[in-house]
Amino acid sequence: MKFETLSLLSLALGLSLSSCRHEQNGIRYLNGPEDLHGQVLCAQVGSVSDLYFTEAYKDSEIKYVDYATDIPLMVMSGKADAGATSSLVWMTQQNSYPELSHFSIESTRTDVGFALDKRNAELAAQINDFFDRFLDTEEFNEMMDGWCQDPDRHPMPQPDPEDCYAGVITVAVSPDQPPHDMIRNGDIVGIEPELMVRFAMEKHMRVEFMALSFPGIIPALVSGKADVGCSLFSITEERKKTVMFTNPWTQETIDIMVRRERMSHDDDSAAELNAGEDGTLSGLLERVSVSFKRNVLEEKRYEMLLKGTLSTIIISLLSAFLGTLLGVLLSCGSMSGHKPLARISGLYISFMRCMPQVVLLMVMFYVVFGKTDMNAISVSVVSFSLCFGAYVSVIFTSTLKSIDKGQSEAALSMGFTPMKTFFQFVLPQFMPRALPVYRNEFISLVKATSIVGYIGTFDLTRAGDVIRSRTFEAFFPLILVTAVYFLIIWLLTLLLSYAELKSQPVVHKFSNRKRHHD
Amino acid sequence: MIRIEHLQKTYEGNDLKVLTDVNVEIQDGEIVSVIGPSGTGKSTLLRCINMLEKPSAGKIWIDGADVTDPRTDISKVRRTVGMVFQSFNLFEHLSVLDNVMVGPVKLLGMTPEAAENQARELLGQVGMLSKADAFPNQLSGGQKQRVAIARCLSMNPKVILFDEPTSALDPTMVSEVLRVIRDVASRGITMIIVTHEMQFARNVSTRVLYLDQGVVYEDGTPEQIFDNPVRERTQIFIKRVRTVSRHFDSEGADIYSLLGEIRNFSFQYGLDAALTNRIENAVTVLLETCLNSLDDARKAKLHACSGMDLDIGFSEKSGHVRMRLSIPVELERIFDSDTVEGQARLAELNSTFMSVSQEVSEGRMIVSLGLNCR
Repeated sequence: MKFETLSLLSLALGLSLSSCRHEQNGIRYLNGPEDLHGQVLCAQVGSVSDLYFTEAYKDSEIKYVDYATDIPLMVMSGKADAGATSSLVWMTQQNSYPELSHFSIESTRTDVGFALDKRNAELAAQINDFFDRFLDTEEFNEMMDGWCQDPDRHPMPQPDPEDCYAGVITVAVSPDQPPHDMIRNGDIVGIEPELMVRFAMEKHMRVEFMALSFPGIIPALVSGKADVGCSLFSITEERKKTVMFTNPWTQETIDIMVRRERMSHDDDSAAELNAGEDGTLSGLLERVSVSFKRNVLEEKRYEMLLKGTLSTIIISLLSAFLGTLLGVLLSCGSMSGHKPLARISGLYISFMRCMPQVVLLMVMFYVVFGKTDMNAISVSVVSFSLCFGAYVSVIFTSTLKSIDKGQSEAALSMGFTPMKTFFQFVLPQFMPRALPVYRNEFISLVKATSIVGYIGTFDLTRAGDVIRSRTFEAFFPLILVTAVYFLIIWLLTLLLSYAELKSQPVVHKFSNRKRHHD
Repeated sequence: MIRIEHLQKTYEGNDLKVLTDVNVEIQDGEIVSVIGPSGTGKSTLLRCINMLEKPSAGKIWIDGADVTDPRTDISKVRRTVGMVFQSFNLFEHLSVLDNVMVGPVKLLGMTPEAAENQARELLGQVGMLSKADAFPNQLSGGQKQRVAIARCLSMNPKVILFDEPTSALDPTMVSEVLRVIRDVASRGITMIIVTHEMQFARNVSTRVLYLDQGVVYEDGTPEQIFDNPVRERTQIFIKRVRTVSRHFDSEGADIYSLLGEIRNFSFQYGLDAALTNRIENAVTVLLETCLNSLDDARKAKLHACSGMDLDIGFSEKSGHVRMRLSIPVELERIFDSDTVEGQARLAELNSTFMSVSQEVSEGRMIVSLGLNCR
């Protein structure tokens, strides 16, 4: 009986495994666009390739990723058979992925330009004017060559601060598409940023860059947080309904990347590649140290990590502090005899508990504080305080209710004032009961802050993403970031654990005499 | 001196007037027991005196200070008025010693050394010194209450309010707490004790207040109240037939839960084991003959006619146990002597009880059954 179950199980397992690897025995080659039907395809959310796949390959399963850099990883790991990316991006990436091969789909050739809100037609016209004069020059070609050949060192033009008297242009960039948009030494650089800086220098203006994730750029334009968005935007009719575009400064096609062994003429080189792997421990250590150098030491990327870590800590601590205050107010509200107040607190708490934090964050940034100058860190702190307050107020209320009223009455009847009663008798019993649950909630908060990248806050997770987008390494930055999170949470909760320890009852609280207690 | 004038307490929401008009004056050194039926506001009266409950109307003076006046520093007055609670209310996060030290150190400005010496002395007096380092959750109910009394004494109060200090205790622990209260009574501290322990109230107090219908219904020395109560409700209460009541419906009787209740009842009023057994036996017979033997038609009828009520009463004065069974007249034929069945039932009852009588009033037939026990 047992044996039969086992064999059934292994059969099911085998089936599911083999269905993951499409036609393992007779490899189905992917040599051109027509071979992609029925395959698992991967594209960046909202990108042109997303639109193209959805349109042309209705019979295929499409997997979406947030960052363009994740696409090669999906293909390499076999989670997707083919991935699509902009030819401009792939141009620089392909050297990092010797395992992957590609072909272009010429029919997808589209124009690429900068996006602006429709109210900014005048600025768009000025940029177009600049393009007309600049794009055909030798200088432009030199700039392009420079960035493509040596994205790690090609210099950005440095405007003279004295010359920037005419104002500021805010440019939203998704800096994960080198060499067009990237972060180098903590600054946003690349072909598109340089175009904007050159334009601004002509107008005696200063450019302020804002690093957002790709899906965040259009909302930033519409809400007026940014004037110009550049992230290799393909100019499509659909997008023109929401925003307006400058004239194109270049064109791109969609490049399809597939694993080398899936291309019929690349079989041999795939075999060569596999020969080079070193499976020993020293080989592993060596790879780790190489990764460490690339991801942490080069270009002083540790500064980026430190900056991200700092933001994560600041956002977590400030949100925890403000949220705790809010939580205290809310539980006072819900425990007060005042009925409308209790009702409002209750409504607020259930509303906040049901709202996904990402949605709250986006609404706060683009809608509530959309028209203000409030920076992303402050908005993050406000949003997280709002949720954290709701969460912890429930902890506070239930803990307070669990401390029996009789002790307060006893204290009052002895002549303690209500205030002293609270601090002397209620609070000391409240702390050891509430702290363990509170600590858990706090840990959740620290981890939840990893979504602030959505509104362009440069936190630890975002730092990891940016490093990934530069080094094209999948796992090392992720593991690194995880380790740092672990460290942060460990250190911060150590503090809370200390407070917990201090709040435990002691035998001789009032007596000065030292004595042994068994 | 405590003076209470026209004290009224109504609970918001349910319109329940607990105290309607309480007027009383208590002199220094008096030991006053407050007795009365449940729900007459004895505890409420006590809690109004130290303002744990806010009176709806009326005035209370403690040593000339009007505690109902918002301008009075109530915390200061409370330092001289201790309270011992039914549920002990020890500070759970403090050790026994600290429970008895916290008041003097934090409120009276006593040095920790002096407070500790005093605390140890008080704990010694209530027999709890060996548990000085224990936490409240390690103590039994009686031990907790003795610590609570020591804590109360640590503030050196002029008045102590005891709010049913033994009601939450296992019967075996009542006496240890009562002995401690007796000791305290000999110190000249004014005491107001709400209690159900009649014997204790009689022995320890110098004055007894009988509270009923929201007022001080009768006020006098223990001898007056317990031996020669003047007013009617006091008489009923003092000579009271203490009762256990049950309502039965068609579903049959839950004999075991009723027997458990009878056992508690016997324990509470000190009925001896032999008597308890007889009562239990009698009740079992009664229920078997009158309820569980009914056929389905009669059960349906019983259900339709608002069921059957059983009151078991014990008179402390005479030592008699009386049972009173009230059944709908529609069912009176279960005792009909014309039928074989009815005769059997009556015979059964007559052999168990000393006296059996029947009367019909207001659509119910009342069967009174007497059980002589002394």
